[in-house]
Amino acid sequence: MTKQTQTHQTFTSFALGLIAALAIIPVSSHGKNTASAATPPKEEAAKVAAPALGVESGKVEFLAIGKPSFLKVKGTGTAPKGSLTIEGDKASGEFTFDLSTLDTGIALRNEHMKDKYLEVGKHPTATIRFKDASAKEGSKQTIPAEMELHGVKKPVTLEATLKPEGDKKVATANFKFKLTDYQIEIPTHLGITIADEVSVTIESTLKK
Amino acid sequence: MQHPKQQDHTISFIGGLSFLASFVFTSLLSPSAEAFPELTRHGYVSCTACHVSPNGGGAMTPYGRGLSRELLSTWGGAREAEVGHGILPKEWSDALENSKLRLGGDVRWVQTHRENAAVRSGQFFTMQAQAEFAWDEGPWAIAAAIGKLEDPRGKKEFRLVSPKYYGLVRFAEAGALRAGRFAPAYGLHLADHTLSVRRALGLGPDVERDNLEFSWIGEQNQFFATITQSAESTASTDKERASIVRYERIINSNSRVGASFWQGSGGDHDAAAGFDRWMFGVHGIANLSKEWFLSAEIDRSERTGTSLVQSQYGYLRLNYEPVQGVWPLLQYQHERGDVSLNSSESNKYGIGVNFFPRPHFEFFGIWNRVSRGSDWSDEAYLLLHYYL
Repeated sequence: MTKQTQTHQTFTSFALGLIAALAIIPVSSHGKNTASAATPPKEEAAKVAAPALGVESGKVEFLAIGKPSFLKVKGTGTAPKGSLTIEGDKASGEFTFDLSTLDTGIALRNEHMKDKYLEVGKHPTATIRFKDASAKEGSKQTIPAEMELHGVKKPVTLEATLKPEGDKKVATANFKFKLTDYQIEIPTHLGITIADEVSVTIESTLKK
Repeated sequence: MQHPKQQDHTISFIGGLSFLASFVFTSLLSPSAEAFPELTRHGYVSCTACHVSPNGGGAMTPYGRGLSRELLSTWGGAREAEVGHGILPKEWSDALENSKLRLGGDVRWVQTHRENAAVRSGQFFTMQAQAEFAWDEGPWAIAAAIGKLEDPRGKKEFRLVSPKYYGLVRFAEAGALRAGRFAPAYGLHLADHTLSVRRALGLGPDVERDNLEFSWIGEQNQFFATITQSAESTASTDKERASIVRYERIINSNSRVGASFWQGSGGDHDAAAGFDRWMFGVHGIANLSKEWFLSAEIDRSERTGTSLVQSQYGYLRLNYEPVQGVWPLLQYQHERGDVSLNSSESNKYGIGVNFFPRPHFEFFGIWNRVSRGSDWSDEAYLLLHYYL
């Protein structure tokens, strides 16, 4: 009977954050690939080709803290959908995450999270968008992005890393957001209240 | 009131289970409900989500009661985790849930069996019948337990006990001070107090202690500092005062490792019957995957008095949860009461299962093959636990 649904909101936010991170990473990778093309001049190639990197696999995780007791609510969702486009040293992308895939490990908590807090019926996805972000590979990049969650669009800041792995790119992004910024009710159940701030991690493998 | 029933042989339905009588009997005199630190793997890194006590066990919070259905039990109806299994009118349950009153309680029945070349014995008895009440105002709480214990070793009768009572002040979001009688924080606070790391170190629930405890339960770190002394009723030769510290670190949101240190002095020093002892141990609970998890503890102790005795104890338990509420397990225990004596060493290789079929019910059975030197024996027990 424990209602752990509140935590679910946090999960959703995390998922959205992950999507954003994924978008950032592909941009960087794509830039490098374009630059290495032999035939056309770099700028022209970027203008003409700008192939998009799609998400091959990945996952979205969020961590929310319940108080008192510092309960750790961890949720996981499937990889987001979307693409990353790199033009020159800039990247842009849009990634959408299916909130219905979030799982916190407890059925009732999932139900509460999706139905009561995230209202997945009305807002089934979360989306992260960014443009003109740095496409640099290898080092952590701070990327301003926009996350749409629960029908609300707000800026978020992604800490993202993009690394080449064969013909693919592995992207990891972290960010935090506040539930109340997205008009999501703070989950509370039987004396446990979820903290407003939720951490999100996105891991994904990108491929042309 | 149920008296123990001595049996000449193992009860047939238990089959191959055999039980370790004398050792286990001592530890089975459990007067307190224990926590399930195994739930750490689900992110419940602190006991206070489910229990009033900072160190777990006893009176449950409404959230913890709900978890018994959602996370611990295989089956269960929507209101089955409530006090009274949902039989009480909904408005009564809601009023209870929204009140400051917290309830707990345990009834445990045990079937034991031991078998070696010379002895084959078994015993069934009601180990514990106890209720615990707490009033939790948030900034402070009080709790007390009352119940009856049955001593299967001799008296064959229940005795009324109050093994736990305390007052608690939460002076900060993570900090609390507690004073009273309860199990001090040392090592893992496992429900299975038959483990050598509990019983052999004198940490079994049959040992009553009065304590003053400071606890700091943070997001990543947990610290307990306790001053403890044996209850007044303890034999003078066993009375002890000690200082205990325990530190735990949360890892990856679903595992934890920790270390404990105990420094004590007791007995009657004036009569040259005093003793000093220290204990040090490390412990951990690791979430290996969605289905697999393990817990372990290793302790070393040294006791000085009329002679110097160094001891070491340890256990490792590997659990698998193929279905919610069903935890098959493999377990290894090591015990060496005197490291200088090979004859004091025993090793136990166990296989068993925890089964939580529905809220409020737990079955636990384990069968151990025990080696002491060149001798092998079988010990087992089967426990039915009903918690309020």
